[in-house]
Amino acid sequence: MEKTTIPDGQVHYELLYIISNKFSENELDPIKDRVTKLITDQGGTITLSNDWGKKRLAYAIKGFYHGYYHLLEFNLEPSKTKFIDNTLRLSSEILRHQILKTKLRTEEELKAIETLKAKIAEKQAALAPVVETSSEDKAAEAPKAKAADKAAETKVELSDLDNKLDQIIDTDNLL
Amino acid sequence: MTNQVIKATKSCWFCQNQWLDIDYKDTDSLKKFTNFYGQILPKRRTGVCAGHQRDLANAVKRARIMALLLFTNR
Repeated sequence: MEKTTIPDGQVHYELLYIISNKFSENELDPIKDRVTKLITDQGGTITLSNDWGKKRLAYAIKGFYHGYYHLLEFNLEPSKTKFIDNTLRLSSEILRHQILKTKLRTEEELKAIETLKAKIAEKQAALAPVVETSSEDKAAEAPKAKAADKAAETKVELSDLDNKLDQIIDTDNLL
Repeated sequence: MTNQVIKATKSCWFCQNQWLDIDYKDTDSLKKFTNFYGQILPKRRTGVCAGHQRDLANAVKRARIMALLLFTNR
């Protein structure tokens, strides 16, 4: 339980950054090492390092539709975050980054949150069909059913289109 | 009839579930509070209490900056 205490004069931060997609997965480790070294050189200690892998971005950043997400949690003196923020902003390898203050959570708390999430998912799974049937019952039968059918058709088409677009974008990036 | 449906959901989702704070990285739960165009839904639609609505709005904005959520739908 050494991790649960923060040294005096330091604050617990989290840093999420996106590495550009122009690098292959073999080239990522040196970049991540450079970022962790940046923090440790300033006297910080890293408490958590979480790799999210390659993810699709919600919108294009500098022409890239994909990026490698990496999450770090660390303790650091507040005056030194400005330097890290600046160097990350100036580096060409990193598309975006965000440093935020966070609570340092114990393992018990994390477990409690996970169990809560599982419970919520169960509840929603149980509730979802009930809500649908109730709304359908209220609706007038014939015209609404037709509309629903139409909506279902268009939805399928849209999802297909989205998938195709994703494929096209992926191939463009590879070229 | 529609009023009943809204009333049923009108208690703060985050107060009920006793979340310590709203995480901007948890996009699945944030998506519930945005509409098709990616806009943040108002308090009267979400039923979230004022304090949590403020946290929620901040979380959505942070998620947008990190390209986890959309600013606007295409």
